[in-house]
Amino acid sequence: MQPKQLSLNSSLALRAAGLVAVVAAGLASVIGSGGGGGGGGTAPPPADYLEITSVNALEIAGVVVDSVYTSLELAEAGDLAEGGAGATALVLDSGVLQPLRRESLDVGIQEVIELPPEDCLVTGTVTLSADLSDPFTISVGDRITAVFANCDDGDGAVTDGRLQLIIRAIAGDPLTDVFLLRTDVSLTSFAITEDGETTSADGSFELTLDSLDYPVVFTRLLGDSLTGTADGDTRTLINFDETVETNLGDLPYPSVVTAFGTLASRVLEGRVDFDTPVPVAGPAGDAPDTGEILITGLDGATIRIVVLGQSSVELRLDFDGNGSVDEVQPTTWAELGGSVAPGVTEANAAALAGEAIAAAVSFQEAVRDAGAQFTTDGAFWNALSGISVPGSFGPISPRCVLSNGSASVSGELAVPGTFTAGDVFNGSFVNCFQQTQFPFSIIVNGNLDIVVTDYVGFGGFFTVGFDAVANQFQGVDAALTATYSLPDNATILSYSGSSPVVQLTGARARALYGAEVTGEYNSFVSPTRLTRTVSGDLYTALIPGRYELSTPVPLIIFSVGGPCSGALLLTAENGTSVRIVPIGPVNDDPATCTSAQLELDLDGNGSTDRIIEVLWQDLLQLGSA
Amino acid sequence: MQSAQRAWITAILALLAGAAIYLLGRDWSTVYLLAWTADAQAGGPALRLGAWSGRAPSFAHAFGFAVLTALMLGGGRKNAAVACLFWGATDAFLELLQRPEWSVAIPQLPFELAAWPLFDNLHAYFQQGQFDLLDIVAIALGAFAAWLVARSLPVIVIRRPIIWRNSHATETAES
Repeated sequence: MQPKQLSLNSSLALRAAGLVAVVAAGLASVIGSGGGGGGGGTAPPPADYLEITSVNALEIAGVVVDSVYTSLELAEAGDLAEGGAGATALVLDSGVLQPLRRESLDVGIQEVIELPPEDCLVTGTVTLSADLSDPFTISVGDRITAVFANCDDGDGAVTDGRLQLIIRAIAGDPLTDVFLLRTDVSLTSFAITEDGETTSADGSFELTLDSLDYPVVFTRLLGDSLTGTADGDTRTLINFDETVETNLGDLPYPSVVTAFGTLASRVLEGRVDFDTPVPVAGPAGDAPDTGEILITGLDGATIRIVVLGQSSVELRLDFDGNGSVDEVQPTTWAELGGSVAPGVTEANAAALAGEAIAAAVSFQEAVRDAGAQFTTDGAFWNALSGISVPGSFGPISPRCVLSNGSASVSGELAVPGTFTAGDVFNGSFVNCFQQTQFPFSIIVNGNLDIVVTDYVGFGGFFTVGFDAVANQFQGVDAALTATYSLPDNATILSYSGSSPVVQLTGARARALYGAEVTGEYNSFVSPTRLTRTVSGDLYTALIPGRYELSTPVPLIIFSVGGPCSGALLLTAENGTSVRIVPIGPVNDDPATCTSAQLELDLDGNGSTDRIIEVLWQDLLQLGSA
Repeated sequence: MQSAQRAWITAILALLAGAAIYLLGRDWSTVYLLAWTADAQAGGPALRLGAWSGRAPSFAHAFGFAVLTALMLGGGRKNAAVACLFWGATDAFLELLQRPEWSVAIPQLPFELAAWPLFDNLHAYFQQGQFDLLDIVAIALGAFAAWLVARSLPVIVIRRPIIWRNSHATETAES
């Protein structure tokens, strides 16, 4: 009996195993076929060219714009100025490469290194592995792989999936600003989720990052096929060639995009060719100013996206492909799904306020400290005392009291012993500590070349007008016109300055266009009181867009504490705004002016939608972080 | 030839025919299981098959696996019905999930899972697969054809061996 029982048993087990195998094979063959038991495998991108009509033109144009710019954002090194969240930046970031190099040094050259999963700053992990031929640098043939598991570093983006780079060409050092890098990039289930929207991509392409002419940065994507999902659509870029050239030297970073290729959309059920007969140019991260994108569909029908300005775009439709425009549809870059400046939001309001304050303070200090060089402790006055003959002088090294800093002044003086219109002073400062006649002191850095336009007075009391070129002077690059006035027997020190464009350096790049600043100190007795106004169009590397800066009510700032009254207003192009209003002193003690409220107009209707209370200290830190 | 043998042969031939359509008429780079060898398919698919070839594998898949499953379940009308309904429903469900308005809602698998073979194609299967109503028709026909074949399969009864009964096992050991 026993052998028969065993046979029955094994028969049952075999049958069960067979059943499992059949079901598994059945499911595997469905999924492995790609896209259906038979319907078509992984559906190849739609092959038919799309018919262009009045109805679908806007949608087609939007899909093309969105796909091109999304691929650039996904693939490029992000915002190179900020080390952004682009795919390549995630791996090329020094924080990623350094541990790999350390490990490579430990385990030896030409070994595959795999680091244990590392926690991201907020949630998730990233696992890095690499095959580096030289642990001291990146070399051709190196392979770097990053596997992100819902990695959130707190920068607003959650990254998931696998990214692999194989280095194909290299010059310079990618850990610096100046390098050329060409890599094969492979994305597998790679997804970036921002603001609840996930953009995913699968595919590979050749990526070139060229910043050898820094601050001009060139990025090029070249590939046969890159499939991504976004907005509920699966889109495939075919035989594409896209480039971006961005000048990081000036804000707003001027950027030029070219794109060529074919785009297939599953939702649109067809494909179109695209090209940029006129490169699309404008501030990086914001709507472009100029450019044309030509989209060609079935039978030569075209959509020509013509950028007329940041707020105006036209779709010129040629339905029969005969070259003449049959219909014009007005639209906007935002409506096409292109990147536009976010304006003031609840999330960025504090950061924008910090930027506004940092920019306002930098420019006013540059104007004030330039004028202060004419006071009795200033470098120009000091130099004046060492010149006995008219004409060219210098270099002279005026004193920098109470510091180990230095200053050097040269130039031309018409009349020894005083300043005269036309006098030239070229100053160079390194940590030069100066005590001003008013009860505040300054530490001066950078280069300042000025031409005196007007001078009245002598010694400690005077009014001077001058044109200046600041080169990293107090962190400011600008050509400016300014006045500085400390009249005889007066108790008021006032200054003003204006400049067509002020580039500011510091924690990050900022710029003020059409900048104007005024300041007035009104006491020789501490605490001094400063009344300040500032205006201009602010651009910051932190957040794209133009923000109009103004002081509807002059700010009153004491030498102790923060501003005690007034208002600083920052208005975005979309009408949203943040109004920074100091919270006044307690018992008239300016030292208690430590906070402000941010009044947010989030819909641009002129009324306050949200109020956030912040400490001045925190705002200043935001601007310097 | 016994009906079970005929069923085996029919099912396997159907599946081979479905596979042949993929091998000869499809771009291998678009088929997950064949993509690794896509470079060997120089010049594209060997044959230009008609529109029918798009749905035939759906028919073959539902038919072949339903018959094989019915055989594994032991034949009989009841098992045949279970097998045919299972594969008809499964294939149709997976096809329906490829509808763009539904596939959009399917999230990515966690990467730990998505890194495994086959699973790494699951998201692409739904997102890039192309829904076709005629596929559903082909699946239904395949499942129905399988029912016609499998319903007459002889019932194989496998009784549970007595040796597994604890009491008897004890008796056997004692004896």
